Amino acid sequence: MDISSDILLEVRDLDVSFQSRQGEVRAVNGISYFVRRGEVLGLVGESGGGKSVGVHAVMSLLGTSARINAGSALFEGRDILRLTRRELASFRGREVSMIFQNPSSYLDPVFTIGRQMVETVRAHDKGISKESARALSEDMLRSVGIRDPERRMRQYPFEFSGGMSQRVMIAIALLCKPKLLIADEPTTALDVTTQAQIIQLLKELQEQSGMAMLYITHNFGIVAELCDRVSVICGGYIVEQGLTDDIFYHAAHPYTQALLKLIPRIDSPKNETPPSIEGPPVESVTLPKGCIFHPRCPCCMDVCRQNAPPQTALEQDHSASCWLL
Amino acid sequence: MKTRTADNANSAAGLRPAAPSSIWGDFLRKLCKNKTAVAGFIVFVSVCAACALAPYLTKWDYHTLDTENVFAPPSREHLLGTEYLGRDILARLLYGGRVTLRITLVSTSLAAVIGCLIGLAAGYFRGRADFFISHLLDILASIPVFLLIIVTETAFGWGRGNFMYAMAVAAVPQFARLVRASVMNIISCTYIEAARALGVRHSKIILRHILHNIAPPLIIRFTSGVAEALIICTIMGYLGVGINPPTPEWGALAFVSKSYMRSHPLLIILSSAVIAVCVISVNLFGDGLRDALDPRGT
Amino acid sequence: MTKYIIKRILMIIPIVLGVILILFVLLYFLAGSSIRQMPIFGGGDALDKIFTFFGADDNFITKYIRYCYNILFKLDFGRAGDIGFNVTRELKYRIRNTLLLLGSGVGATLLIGIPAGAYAAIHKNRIGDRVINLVTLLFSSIPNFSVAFFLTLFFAVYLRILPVLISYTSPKAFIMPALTIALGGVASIARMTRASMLETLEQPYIIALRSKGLREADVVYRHAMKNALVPIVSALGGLVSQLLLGTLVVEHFFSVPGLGSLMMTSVGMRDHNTILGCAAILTIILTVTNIITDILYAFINPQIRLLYAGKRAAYREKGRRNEDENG
Repeated sequence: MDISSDILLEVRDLDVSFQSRQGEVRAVNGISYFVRRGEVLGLVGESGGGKSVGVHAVMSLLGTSARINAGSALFEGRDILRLTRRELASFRGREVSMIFQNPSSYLDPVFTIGRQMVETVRAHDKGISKESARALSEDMLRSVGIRDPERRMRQYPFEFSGGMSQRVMIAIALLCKPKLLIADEPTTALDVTTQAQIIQLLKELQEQSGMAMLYITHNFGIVAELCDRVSVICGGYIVEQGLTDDIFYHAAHPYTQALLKLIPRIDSPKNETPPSIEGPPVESVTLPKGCIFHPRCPCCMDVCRQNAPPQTALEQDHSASCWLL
Repeated sequence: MKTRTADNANSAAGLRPAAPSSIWGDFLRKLCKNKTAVAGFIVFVSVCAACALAPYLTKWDYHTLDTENVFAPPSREHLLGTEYLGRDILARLLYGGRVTLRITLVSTSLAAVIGCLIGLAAGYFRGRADFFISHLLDILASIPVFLLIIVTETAFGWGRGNFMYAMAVAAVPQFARLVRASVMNIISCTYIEAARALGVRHSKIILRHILHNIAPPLIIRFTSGVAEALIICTIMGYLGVGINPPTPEWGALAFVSKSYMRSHPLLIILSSAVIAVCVISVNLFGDGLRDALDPRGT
Repeated sequence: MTKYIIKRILMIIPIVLGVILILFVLLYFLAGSSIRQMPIFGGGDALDKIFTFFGADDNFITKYIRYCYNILFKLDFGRAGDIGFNVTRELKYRIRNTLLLLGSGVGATLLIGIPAGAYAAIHKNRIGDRVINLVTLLFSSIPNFSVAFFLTLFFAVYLRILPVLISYTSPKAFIMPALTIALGGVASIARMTRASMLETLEQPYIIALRSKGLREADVVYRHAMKNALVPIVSALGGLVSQLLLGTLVVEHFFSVPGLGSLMMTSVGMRDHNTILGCAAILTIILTVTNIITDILYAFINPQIRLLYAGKRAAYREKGRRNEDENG
């Protein structure tokens, strides 16, 4: 297998902006990332940094106020930003599925879980009978750890707790055996115990099926647990990407280093205030000139204020954009 | 939403949301920018003015019969012609507008004032009074408006004045419920709690803080109340409730001309048009008000 | 659920008796003069005797209790002006007309208002949206009698395709009355549908439905539509009460013998029993509408449905859920 076909999804120079009353908000400024078959890529950054937008744009899920200015997203060689509506419908859910942050608000409240699952199966496989679609759905629910699926299929989303809803979301997403699962902060809204269970579940499912996964989070703890590679995103730019180990032990970009410092440590002294990155997050309406991180960077130089830094390759698969390198 | 968050931010310090003058100034500026709202306001006010100045605008009065001149077409003498008894149509429309508009405006204002007092009392003092009032309002609101008007009319006797009061009674629940809900909403804000804790008197709290905050929804409710009352008033006039001939009223005018609608449709067309113009202009103005008062803005 | 419905149906009785009490007090103590004071009766002992025989001279409490007793156990609404025609028979004959008119009006309102509002929401801020907004605003601003007039002029006089008189044999005859009644309500229903649809289309689960590969038509017309209907269903009760006024006008305009026209004539005659009978029937219609609304609401909103199914079931469910979480 040659290198190029090894890559499942490749996003190039994606540029997305929103129309708002204050003017054009530049959410994503030419980001590029790729996902190989069977690997887990983590997309890490602060909230408002453009992680979600960069991924929703790939699935053509952005609202009408968003505009994709430039870029392409090649999935197995096909540019999925330029699919027709019909192609898009058969692509979503079958090739790439998604799970979301707040599971209970992402399930239609007035349909039973069973109906929502069966309709997903039948949307992609017109010939399948209702009974076998139901059987398939029950199996899937069982495999995400929901007991008594037959009864649960007849229930409505509000009868499920947060963790259970997320399991249902995962089951729905995996119904058609997608090649890539996009997880948009799937555990952020859950409590810590449930979080750990869900991450464990995702890890098992990913290893069993060998699908690729794109995991969006702001939590480096989850990254360490789950991801093979990491892309760090800040203010709509990818500032650093590399293998998880490289990022953890040889972080090159000051922003990554700052984020890593935020991980709570068991050996940190008591009564210390939790650390934070100094200064306000990036205002997307008035992007600073030069490097995106310079207003908050502890080692800011003159050149950082003038020009955006180019991407520098450090090791295999590890690169960063900073004038220090 | 924006104001709400601003409220919360300020309320922590026990402050009032913002200087009221700036809110109202902002509101007026936004309203004046909205062309359809301004147009609606101008049209409605000029119709009102025309009706008020009826004696100066036409030399005819609304009740002089001219049996020689029945169904006269528009001419220099009778600008819009005459109807089946030879009375001048323009005069009847203008004098009819006086009746309709006065009933509409007075009854809605009355309902607004009464509803406001009831709602304030129920919302501010809560307790048994609130229980009693809100249940009574629920019952009143569940009786169809026309039933209420007709029965009140029958009970207190027919007549223009009683008709006006009956309309007011029928409109009270909507105002009272709105005010009660807004008051309860505001009263739970911490800045009112702070004022209470500081020992500010009830009357002062109500006047200064609550009235300021319930004014916007009340104004919006008032305009749509006027539009609804206009429709109800003309329909009641059409059905012959409350207004006795020869008093002209827009709905009553339409009723009389119904018998001649195939041969002489002018009067029914004109009275429908004048009602529609008034209601539409009030509605447009109300929409503009809502947009201007909505803190979310556009 | 059945238990709940039966409870609601039984609740009609106190509501109707309460409304009758209010009206009874108003009419008995304030309206004073009844049909017997009308000059056509003149006076005289014989007439007094007849009125006394029919119980017209009893005191307030006796009259009220007798009236309620007769309604509840004999379904008897008394005689017009205490001595005249049988109100019950008159009501029976007229209920059908009013219900037919009201029903077709409500049907037309929903059939026009909901699709119009949904279309406006999907085509937000485009020409279709603006046109619908304008047209509904226009129609809601014209009183019903003008609408009836223009419809008659256009369809019956100019095009000659619709009859003016109501007849049960041709459903065509109901088109104009139904439209007349509906046009006042269409605007509010369309506006409500538009707002509700816009809000629904912004919900997160719409994104999730798209992400799993449903066709846009399924997302909008099956999922969003059903969710958007929830608040509209709860507004149905108010709608019916609003459309009753239109029904009154239509009965008058198209000369339909219905409850509204009966009430208008009996008001003129100060005929208390007939007024009360009409009011009672109208109140029952409204209360039943509210019950139907609640049932529909429960039907479309599973959360409410389960609530009605009984508290015990809900507790059982909660127990199971906890067990799932721990397991």
